Amino acid sequence: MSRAAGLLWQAVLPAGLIVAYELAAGRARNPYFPVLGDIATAFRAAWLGPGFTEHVLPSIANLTAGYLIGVVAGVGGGVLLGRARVLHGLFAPLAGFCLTLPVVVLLPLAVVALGVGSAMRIGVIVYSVFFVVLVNTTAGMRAVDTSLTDVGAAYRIGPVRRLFLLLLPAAAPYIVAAARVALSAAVLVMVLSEMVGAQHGIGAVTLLAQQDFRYDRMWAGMVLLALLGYLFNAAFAVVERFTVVRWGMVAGTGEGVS
Amino acid sequence: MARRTMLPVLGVAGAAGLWEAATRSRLVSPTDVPTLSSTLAVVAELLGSATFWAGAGDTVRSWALGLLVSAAIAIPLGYAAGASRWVWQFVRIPVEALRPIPPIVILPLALLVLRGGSPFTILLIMQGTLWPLLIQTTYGVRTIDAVVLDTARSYRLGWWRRVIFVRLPAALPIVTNALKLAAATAFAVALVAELVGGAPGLGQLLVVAINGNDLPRAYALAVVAGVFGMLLAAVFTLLQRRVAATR
Amino acid sequence: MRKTLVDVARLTKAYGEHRAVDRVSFDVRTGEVVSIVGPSGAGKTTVLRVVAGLLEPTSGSVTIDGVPVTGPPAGIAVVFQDYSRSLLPWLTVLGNVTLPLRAKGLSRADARRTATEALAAVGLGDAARQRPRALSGGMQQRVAIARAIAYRPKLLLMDEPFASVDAQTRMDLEDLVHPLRDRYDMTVVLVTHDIDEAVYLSDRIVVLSPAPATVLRIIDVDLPFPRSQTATKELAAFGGLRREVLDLVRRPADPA
Repeated sequence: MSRAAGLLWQAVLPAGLIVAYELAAGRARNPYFPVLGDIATAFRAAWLGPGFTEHVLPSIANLTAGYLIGVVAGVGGGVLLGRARVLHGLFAPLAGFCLTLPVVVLLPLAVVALGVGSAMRIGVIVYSVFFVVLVNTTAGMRAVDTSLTDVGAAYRIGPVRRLFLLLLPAAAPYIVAAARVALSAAVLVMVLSEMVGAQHGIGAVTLLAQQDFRYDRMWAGMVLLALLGYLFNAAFAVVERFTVVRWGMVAGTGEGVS
Repeated sequence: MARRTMLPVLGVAGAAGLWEAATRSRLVSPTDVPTLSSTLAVVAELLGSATFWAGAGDTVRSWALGLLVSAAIAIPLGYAAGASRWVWQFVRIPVEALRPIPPIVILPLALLVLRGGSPFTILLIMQGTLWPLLIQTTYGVRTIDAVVLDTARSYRLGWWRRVIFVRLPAALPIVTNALKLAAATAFAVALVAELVGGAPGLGQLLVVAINGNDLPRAYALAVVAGVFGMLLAAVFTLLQRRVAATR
Repeated sequence: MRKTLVDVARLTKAYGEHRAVDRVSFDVRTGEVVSIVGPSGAGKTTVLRVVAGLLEPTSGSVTIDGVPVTGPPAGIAVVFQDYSRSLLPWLTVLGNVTLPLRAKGLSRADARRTATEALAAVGLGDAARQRPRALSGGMQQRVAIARAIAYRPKLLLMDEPFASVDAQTRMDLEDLVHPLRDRYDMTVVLVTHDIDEAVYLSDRIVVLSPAPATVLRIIDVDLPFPRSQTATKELAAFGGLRREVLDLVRRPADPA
């Protein structure tokens, strides 16, 4: 099909869905499903004014801090577990257990131990990111091709160069994939951590709006979270394109198929 | 050989010892974290309690239903999208837009409309698992080796034979892997639904324990949930091995 | 007679019960090209990896310049068979060649100059900025060779270096070996399963038996230099040597 026809064809379903929603919402006048105009107004009111500094920024700050700490610690730990057999033997099973333990069950426990402040929120985000990155980095380090480790040894490349120029890039497909999964997990945990006993943050505002019957505001929260999820995911596609895809180590995500 | 079994035991024993020592010595206050021994005592108690097994049954039922519904929709649709560019192009934008949305996002609305309960949990699980399953299946069906397809065509296999004997088996490993990931997600989402949405299950038992200030019980439930997660992962890893062994 | 550079003495390598190499002894003199040939699975690569210090022998020893090899020694470079896995896809061609030089302590400018010169010597002067995956297989293997010679080794070890390229490219790459050896004063040890290649390139050939590998014979190749893909291969002596090696390699497996 021609390019223009292809684009048109792709637009049919999304446009149809949006129009159908608008028509249905306008007709039904169900408070649960406000029309798009009302959602847009609520969006502006909730997030673009003072709400931005009061709710959006703290959420993003916690997310960023927790995510970065989790990734850095996870990669560091993964390098150790991947290269040192004894450490792997000692800790791999524990890490596997922590990985499968859903963070959500830790959340109430974290609230008891740490309260509902930033420390708890960042803590649970770190947990959700750390083990995913740790386990996958470990796997990536253990899967480094022996040809590469041979090159490092034969040319007597020192430990620092060997780590940053040989081993980490070789494990990059594992690390990047894990970091991507971890980011969705982190967004989920961020929202979740704000739904327990907090007044600030995107998740808190959204859940409180629902409890206060302010459904347009609740929708505005859902739209913002959806947008964030989408943007982070898109940002990751760019990271992949300029690293592992460019190096020919994994196939490009093409039309977003991953 | 001995070292391979010794080290993990040492690691677990070390972590357990650390937990017990930190809580016994009051380095960590017992009002923040209970001792390991009291937690394990409650685990033993839980395993003999009917309430616990009812809760576990609820969680597993939601998990299985959510996963089943997702798979029943995503796999055939993904199959169609993988086999036909037209289908893929048609659903592409909504799928790509909806996929990165964490299931927690639709929680407030779902809570409103479905009022907690089983359909609520299943809907959340679907948001978490349907899109990745759909996309992975599409990818799996689409990346089948062209030589295999050409071979099938050159022997003039009919459409349905190509589907049953060539495309489906060839896509199986990717689909199995996607199912394994979806199973883990579904378990976590089921617990989210129970904890935040109040649906019956392990998550709700945990909330009750926390509200009753029964920390050892809460920790025991968390430990058991972790073991459940591991068992589910193990089952799907086994399935994956079986599939891998056929090629 | 030239002096001995590499001395392999009663080298044995066993993996558990399985003995891959059994008391292999040979030497390599300075400036020589020595090939190790044998049927596939004969442990040729194992011998080379021990010489490179990448593998510890079970017993026996390797010395280079009289110094026993215990780990990868300075002054040797290795070209691995699988170029697609031994080049780093995240570095440019130039980056791949400069990495070992920087690790050796050369300044950025010196490393870059040496690397550029080595790339020109293998006919890749224009490809420095490209990434390995953008190049053909033959060109990638040239990059691996440039990386080795830029390192200025006195001993160049090559493990089936031309096994994964097409026949035409293979001849081109083979014809790089002697000019590079002369220009950079190297000694070359080459593992190959291709008997024509061994005869064509070598001063001497070490013929190994099937596993556990033992030395069947060490053959002197006194074909005149410079060698040429057409003239040399037409010589009666070439045919005779080829036959001698072939008989040795095929005899144990195929008693015809």
